[in-house]
Amino acid sequence: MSDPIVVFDKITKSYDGINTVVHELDLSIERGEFVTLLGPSGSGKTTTLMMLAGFEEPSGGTITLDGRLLNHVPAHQRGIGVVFQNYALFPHMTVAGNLSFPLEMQGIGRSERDQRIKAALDMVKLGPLGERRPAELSGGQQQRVALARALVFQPKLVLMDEPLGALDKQLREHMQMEIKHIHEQLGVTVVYVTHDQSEALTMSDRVAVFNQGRIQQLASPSTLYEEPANAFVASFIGENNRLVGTVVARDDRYCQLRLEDGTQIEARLAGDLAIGSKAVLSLRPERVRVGPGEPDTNAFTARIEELIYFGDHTKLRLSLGGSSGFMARTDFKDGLRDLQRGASVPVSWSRDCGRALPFSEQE
Amino acid sequence: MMTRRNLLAAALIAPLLLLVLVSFIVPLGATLYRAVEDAEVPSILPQTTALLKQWDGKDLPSEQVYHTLIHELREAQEQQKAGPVLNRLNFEETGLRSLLLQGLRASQQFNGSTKQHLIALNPRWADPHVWDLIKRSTGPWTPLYFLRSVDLKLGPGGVVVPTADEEAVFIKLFIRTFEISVVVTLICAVLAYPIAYTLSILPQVWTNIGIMLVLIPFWTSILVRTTAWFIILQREGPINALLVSLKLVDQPVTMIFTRFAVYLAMVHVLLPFAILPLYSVMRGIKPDYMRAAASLGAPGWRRFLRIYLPLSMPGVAAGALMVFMLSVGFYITPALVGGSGDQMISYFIAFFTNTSVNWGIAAALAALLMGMTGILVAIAWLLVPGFRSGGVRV
Repeated sequence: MSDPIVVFDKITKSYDGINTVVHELDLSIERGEFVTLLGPSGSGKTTTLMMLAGFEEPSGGTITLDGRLLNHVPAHQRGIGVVFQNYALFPHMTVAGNLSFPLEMQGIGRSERDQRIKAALDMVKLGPLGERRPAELSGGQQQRVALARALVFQPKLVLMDEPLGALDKQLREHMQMEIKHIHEQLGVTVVYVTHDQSEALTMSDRVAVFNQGRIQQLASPSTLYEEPANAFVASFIGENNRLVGTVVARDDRYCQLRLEDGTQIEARLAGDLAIGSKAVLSLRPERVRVGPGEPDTNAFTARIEELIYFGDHTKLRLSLGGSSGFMARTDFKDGLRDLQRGASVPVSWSRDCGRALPFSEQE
Repeated sequence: MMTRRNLLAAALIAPLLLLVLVSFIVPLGATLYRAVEDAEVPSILPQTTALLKQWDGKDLPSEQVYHTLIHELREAQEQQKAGPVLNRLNFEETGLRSLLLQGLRASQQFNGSTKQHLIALNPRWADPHVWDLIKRSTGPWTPLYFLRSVDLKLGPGGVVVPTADEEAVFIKLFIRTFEISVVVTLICAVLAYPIAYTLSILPQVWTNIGIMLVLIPFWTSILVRTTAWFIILQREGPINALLVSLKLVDQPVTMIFTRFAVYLAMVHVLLPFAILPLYSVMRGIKPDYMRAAASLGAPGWRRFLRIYLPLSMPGVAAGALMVFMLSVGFYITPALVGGSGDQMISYFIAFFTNTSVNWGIAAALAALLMGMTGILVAIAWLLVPGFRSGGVRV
């Protein structure tokens, strides 16, 4: 599979010539792929999307779409569908008028227009609402219209800029599935921007994690989650415990870390770490077993500082290895039900679950 | 509990209602009342009025009616009250004043039949139409002022006929008033649109400066700004001095007291009223709409025509409505910089109120102006898209 539809080559963007918002970005998107640009606000993900849509011009580098250089092609000649954060539905037109607009711009005749508007409305399950004004629709319905409008003129590429940000949690999860299904059904390439990591993980084929104008990691959701390339990705994707220590021993796959209070932890190597160098242990809270069980490589006793009840699970804030912010997650399968604040519990995890990453000063 | 709340609500609204009542409903009612009231003749010539009520209107009235009219008029003249009556009758038909004054002067020497003396003095006294006119002025209501406002009058037998050409000025005046107002509104809309657009897209610092440049003249008195134009445009003014010194013209150009001067000064005075609502509407048009239109394949001019123009239309409508309403009632600017052919209806309302003291016609003109403006705005409300929301986007 190497049939890239979009290629960013050393794209740089700066608004004032001093601070770069996007820094020498390389990104190649395959045809039919669902790629999410994920990152905190100000990380450059939206600017990247705007450059692809043609609303911003890159300061350096090239963008190609289907082999065609895009840098100086105006937005209206790119043929890229865009779903905006606040939908940007034309308030003075009906729903059908909004959908008709791109078809009229392409000079498509009336009967075909009507046919395609109907098909697009049916696709987003808004069949009978064509004559309504956007203001007469609920947020979720407006979102569907925006989606239908970006797809009705059959673009090869659709960009979505936090399209679900304004919806409540339940509707958002529902729409995530629907967008995913539409993507599978139409085979259209989607570039999706969000700051919500769970949205990125559930919807995407690949996720590009942005921070400070650079892609930190571009990988499938499972790789991102299980094997974050660096400490930023590890902490941005899902919850993560970070314990800083020094490498005291290592072999090819594992190393021993000594924390400041002397606790020794065995972990998988996720980077080249020399003995004596500083390292960060990255460990997901759900990988920690709370309570007695088969002895693992890493087994300790920790004090419960706080219990946070979630219904299907409970989170524990523990004191461990000199830190009082060590998070663990239990669903009580291990039998402990009467946990008390201030009590001590046994905790353990496999050495394969903890990943030792190089320590970087900026964190 | 409910009643107390209602009382409180009523008490809170009461000052507003009172204000509307005192400042709007009462003056409006008084104006309409004056436009149809006919009180001069019945109050000053009560006996003549009573006698004429019984007159059949076909043959000449009896000697008693002639005598009472002259008698009452003379009494009124001695008490210096005859003016309004004579004005009122002369407004019914020009020439009645001199006919009556001639009769009054001669009546000092009358002995015997007043009727025969008067007919001998002027044959018009033998015309029943003269008495018809006098009877028509005996109130209490008259359609005269409204009819005259649209160049009509009651002819013999109470038939509505057009007034003589030399008296038919008001329809022309209404047409001129609306013509000037429409032209000023169009010029203001065309000039305000790019200005407001520029203000809406500039960085905030420049927008603030721009808005100040719009507001400072807006806060300056209309009289001051009009006087400034008066000075600038006059024959010996700076523009003419410049043109002559540059040898672009041999003679100073006549600019003051022309329609051009009226348009120039009115547009200058009214432009902020068009810019400000437009700016506030344009400021609210999110750039995402234009981006969306671009992503959907619309080039610049189609984005403007299909998206930006319709979205900014409520601002155009609000601004145009404001400018038009104010233009229709303009008085001081045309009076100062316009010629005699550029005066608008308000000038004549002021003239009839202050100079010729004919409040009836002034009131009728004012009421008609308001009615016509209301009808025009209603038509615009129905026809112009975006007008209904009056600048508020839904």
